[in-house]
Order: sequence, then structure tokens, then C-alpha cells
Amino acid sequence: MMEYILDYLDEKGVYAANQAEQEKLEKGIRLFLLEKGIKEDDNDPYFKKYIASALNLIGTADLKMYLSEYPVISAIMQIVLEWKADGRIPSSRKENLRSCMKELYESGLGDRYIPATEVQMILA
Amino acid sequence: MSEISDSGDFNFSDVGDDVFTSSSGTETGSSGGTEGIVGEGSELGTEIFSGESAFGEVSSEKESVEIPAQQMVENFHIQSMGQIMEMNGKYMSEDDMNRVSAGVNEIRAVEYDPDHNYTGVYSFYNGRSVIEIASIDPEQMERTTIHETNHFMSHNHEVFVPQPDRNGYTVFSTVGTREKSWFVSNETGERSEFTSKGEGMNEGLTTMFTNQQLMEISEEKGIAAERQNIYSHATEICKQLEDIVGEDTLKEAYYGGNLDKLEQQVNALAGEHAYETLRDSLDRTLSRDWSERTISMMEAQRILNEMYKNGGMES
Repeated sequence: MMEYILDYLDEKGVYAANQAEQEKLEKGIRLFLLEKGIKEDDNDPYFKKYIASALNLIGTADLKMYLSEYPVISAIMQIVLEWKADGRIPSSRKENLRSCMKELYESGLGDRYIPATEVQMILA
Repeated sequence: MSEISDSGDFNFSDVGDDVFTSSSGTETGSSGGTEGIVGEGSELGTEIFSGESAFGEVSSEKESVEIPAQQMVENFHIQSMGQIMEMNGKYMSEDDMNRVSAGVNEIRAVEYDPDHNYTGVYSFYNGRSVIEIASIDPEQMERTTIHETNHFMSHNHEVFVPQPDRNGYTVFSTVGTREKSWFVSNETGERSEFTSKGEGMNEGLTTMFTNQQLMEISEEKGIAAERQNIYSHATEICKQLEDIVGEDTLKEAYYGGNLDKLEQQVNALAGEHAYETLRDSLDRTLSRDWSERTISMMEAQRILNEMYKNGGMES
């Protein structure tokens, strides 16, 4: 499935500019697949359909950054779900969240791919 | 539309609210006791049901936000009801249609409280329905009101079973695809023995239908809602499920209460007990535990892959 996603990016004209970017992109894709419950060697048509559907939701201009920054997006989701489950989260987690949001804004993704309202509520 | 069997000596008005939550909304069940009027603030004691059986107290002293948030929420609700009726009215049972036609008992916008971990609540208890929307910003209020209105317009059903030998009664409550039960003591009003199943699927479907409605209103709103979804895993799985079993089967389950047909289709395509496993996996996609979410996604994906291979609608 890693190859499938890299081909998908290729088709969209999305490339890593250098080896470091490529490594960061692949690391993000691995986590993306893992959290979607898909193994790297799952190649059945269903999984391709699922991944295409998930990636189609991401704007083409954001694709590379979205996948590269996926570990940050994942960390934000984790904090939001802790807040959702527990009602409150410790201030250290709020700091983690603030730091993740800073990174997302610096990447240019902003709050487009995270539960923005919930993040706003946590950080209020 | 609530079904109340011959009671022993239980008193419904003593029971607090029992909440089904969603993070763009929350879903509960509520007690009688407070006669609310649309547009007016009234006291609402609410307990949040999250996950296994953890009920947390929510203040009953919230101030209702008046104009314009209250009006906005009411307008979003009315528009959404019309839209849902047009898109999905054909799936609803006569009982649900009568309940919905009578309107929600109470809907109100409340001031945003940073101590509360939800943006909206839907409660249904003893035939009484309440929607509460946190007033944060217009986009969120629209999204959340549509979400909670979908909970209201989905299949709502409850049964109270007296248990005189235990001096109490058991409540069985269904909202959409979520089924819950709990025991209530007549003497103390205390609740215990909570069970809940189908929350993940219910929130996934509610979010999917909400996003479809938003997409009809404006593509920009629909896409933003899909991208910023807290229930993204459950919603993505529900979208794939819709492709495989078809829109009618899912909507008959959610709005019409025909879960049997969905269960039969899933089991026919993925094997005995596959539906149960899928439903439970979807419940765990809402977990705060990363490993549990990831494993549950793997389980759900295996089932959907099997269904797809075995002749799902689009395979």
C-alpha cells in the first residue's frame, strides 16, 4: 500500500524534494496506514478504494504536507480523544496540543484537517 | 413514542438525564420532570454517557444564550428537519414519524463552557427529547445542530421493564443504531448495570449523514466538516459500508430501526457474527487508547474487505 500511495502522489504531481523529505513522507504514510488499520502489504482492491477515498478528501496542494505531518495530526487527534473521554486534560497535554498546533500552522495546513472546534475548546 | 410497560412503583420523574454524546455532538437519554418550551431556557440535569458506563455530572445551572444564538440554533434545526424529511423520510417508521412531527421537546443554545467536553447533546428519555447546542461559532452551531437533529430523527425507542423483586426497573433505549440499557432503583433513583453497544456505528452514520446534508447546502461546508471530523475513523468505515451494503440498508437501520437487515447482509458477506464484530470494532474506534483504536480499525477493515470480495454492491 505504500507503493500505491506513492504512485497516487506521483499521479497528482506530488514529489519529495530530497531524501529527507522522502523519509519524512514515508514515515507519515506508515502511520497513516497503521491508524487506518491497513498493512503495508495489503493490496486488495478494497484497501485501494479505501485509501483513494481517504486521500481524495485532502486537497492536492496539501497532500505532501498532510502525509509528512501526519504524526502531528495523529498526536492532536489523540489529545482530543483523551479530552473527549476524560472531560479534562492536564495542562501538560494542553501544552503538547499548543505545540502541535504551532507546527501545523507553520506547515501551512492550519486547522483544516483536525477537529478545529474541539481544539479551540481545549485551548480556550 | 416511548413504550412503558406496566409499572411497579417506579417514578420516572426521579430519573436524571442519560446522555448519548457526540463531539460534534452528544447523545443522551433524559428524564421527565422539566417541561421545556422551544426557545426558553429551562433547567436540564444531564449526565454524559461516554464509553463503558462512566456518567459524569454536567451542571444544571447553565445559562441559556438568547438571541441570536438561540434563534440560529432553532433555524438550523428547522431547516435540517425539512432536509432530513425530504432525503430520508421514506425510511422512517410511523411511530418515529409521529414523534418527529410533534417536534423536539426542547432545543436550546447554551453558552460555551470550557469545562464541558462536547459541543452538542441529544437526550431521549421517557419519550422526551432535548437538544442542547454549545454556542461557539455559527459554522460549528450549524454542524452540531444538524448532527443532533439527525439523532432526534433517527429511530428512537425505549422500553421500561419493571423488576419488582429488585425494587426497580430496567430501561432499554435505542437511538439510531445505538442500544443501551441500565437498571434504576426505585428507592434511590441510582442507576447501575449500564450496557451500551453500537455507539461507534451510530456516531459514524450520524456524522456521515450530517456531512451529506452539509454538502447539499454547500460543498465548502461539507468538505470542511469531513476534514475536521472527530469521528473520522468510524465515519470512513461507515462510508465504505454504505458502498458495500447500499444506502437503503443503512438508512433503514438508522432511521427505520431495521437493524436485522443490515446484520443479515453483513453476515451473509463476511460470515457468522461479522456484524457483531464490526459493530463492536466501531465502538472501539472512539477509544482514547491509541492501540485499541488501531486494532479495532484492523478488525473492521478485514470485515469490510471480506464483504467487498464477496460481492458487495460495488465490488
